[in-house]
Amino acid sequence: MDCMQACEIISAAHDGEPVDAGLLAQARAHADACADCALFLRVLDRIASAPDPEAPPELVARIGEITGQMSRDARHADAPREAPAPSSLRTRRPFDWVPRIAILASAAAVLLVVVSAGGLALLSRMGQTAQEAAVTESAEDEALRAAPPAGVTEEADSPVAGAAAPPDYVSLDESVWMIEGAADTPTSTLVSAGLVRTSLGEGLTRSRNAFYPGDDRSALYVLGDGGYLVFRRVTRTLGGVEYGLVTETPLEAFGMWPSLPGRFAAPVTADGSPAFEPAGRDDRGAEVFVPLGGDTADGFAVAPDTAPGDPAAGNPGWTWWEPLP
Amino acid sequence: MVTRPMSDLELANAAASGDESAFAAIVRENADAVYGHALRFFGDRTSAEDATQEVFIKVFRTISSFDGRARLSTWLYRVTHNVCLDMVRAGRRTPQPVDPLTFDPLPAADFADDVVFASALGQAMGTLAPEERDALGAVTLFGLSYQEAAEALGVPTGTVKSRVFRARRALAALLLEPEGGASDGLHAGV
Repeated sequence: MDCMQACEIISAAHDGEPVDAGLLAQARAHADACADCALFLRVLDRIASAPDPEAPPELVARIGEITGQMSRDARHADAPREAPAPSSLRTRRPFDWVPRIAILASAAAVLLVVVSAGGLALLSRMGQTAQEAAVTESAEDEALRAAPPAGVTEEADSPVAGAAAPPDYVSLDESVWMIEGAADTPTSTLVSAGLVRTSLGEGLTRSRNAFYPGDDRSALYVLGDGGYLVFRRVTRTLGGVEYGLVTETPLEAFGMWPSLPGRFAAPVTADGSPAFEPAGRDDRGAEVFVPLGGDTADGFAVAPDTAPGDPAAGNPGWTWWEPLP
Repeated sequence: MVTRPMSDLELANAAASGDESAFAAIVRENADAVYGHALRFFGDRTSAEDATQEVFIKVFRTISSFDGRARLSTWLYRVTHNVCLDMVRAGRRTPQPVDPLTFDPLPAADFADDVVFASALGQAMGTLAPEERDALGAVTLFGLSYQEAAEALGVPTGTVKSRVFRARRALAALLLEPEGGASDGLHAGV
């Protein structure tokens, strides 16, 4: 028995595979007298005792939040009601109704070519595996690509229960932006606004490039798989001054409501106590609240259940608004 | 009252019927394997996190199609394998290959250090051929038998056996330098 045979047998036995006892004894006897095999066994044991990668807890929590929301939305979808389907369940994606647009600047185009070339080269390197993958499309995998399970709706206009669904929001830092639609080719120069972490209603949350159209800071172009989507900053005015909605919780998937910053205790009464006190009304007539002894110039809160058409309409929680620069 | 653990099929059926705790249990039990496989596949954490999230969203949407003929871990492995490949095919992510020539064997002290060794092992995985990495992940992270891995990958059982062995042989050559320098036999040609 040579080194290869001995170590392959020991490797299989290590994985709990059935191995002929006689062959295994021969393999062990060989390894006991062979420095190379001894080294192999040492690494084999070390790999087995090394800690395996662990999924970050925040990732597991995020998956729980997303699938929990999908589960709740799916349950609501079983009960016919009048409100529109939650955007988080829409499988008709924003890009589906939009012609694809080619808008990247030349530098971005070059980058795309480079990335594509890299991907192709890698796929070429992976040729055998990719081929196998094509063969291994099982019945279960077919099912994965087939119809959604019961309770999950395909159409955006399906009836659904519950309070109004959140508009399709994204957040940049803490600022909140609401979808306006797909972008035509931007006519102005896009200025990088940073990265927005969002699913864009496509199921996969990841960081995406976002841009301002020139000097305009009221609109945000977010680059998805099918092109740009335009988002508009959610604002209201008070005394002619514009305030923007902010959120403590990053809005990483459509179907999430902006949340009150954690520095404020959640109000327990309609007058805002214990965190807030009434401070008048904004230009639309919505009552605003400030921290005790505070000033609206520093920002204000708005209670739930604002009137239809209000920029916070439908949000079941309190919202916080800060003056725009 | 003694409660017995739910079978894979019972757990999947419970999750499919809307039991959030059942699905959470599936995520909890398998997140490390899915993430670990994706991390070794792509070589970077961001891609691994995106893949893991996509895997479980896909599983959530299709859990009702799980029929219990295979183990849940086999099914999850197959979904993970396909999601990773789909991400590459779509050009959304590119695995980061590691050149074995840039890899130095670990000194004995580092070899014994869990943190250093795990990090080196992760890097060394990047030098493996994708099919070797795949087979090794199926067996060591998802706990599949060679036969289960073979069925999931659509290759003969012997192919899985040899890929797992080749992967380990390559890792051994990279991670621990033979006493007295390079040798022949097992380490030749790696």
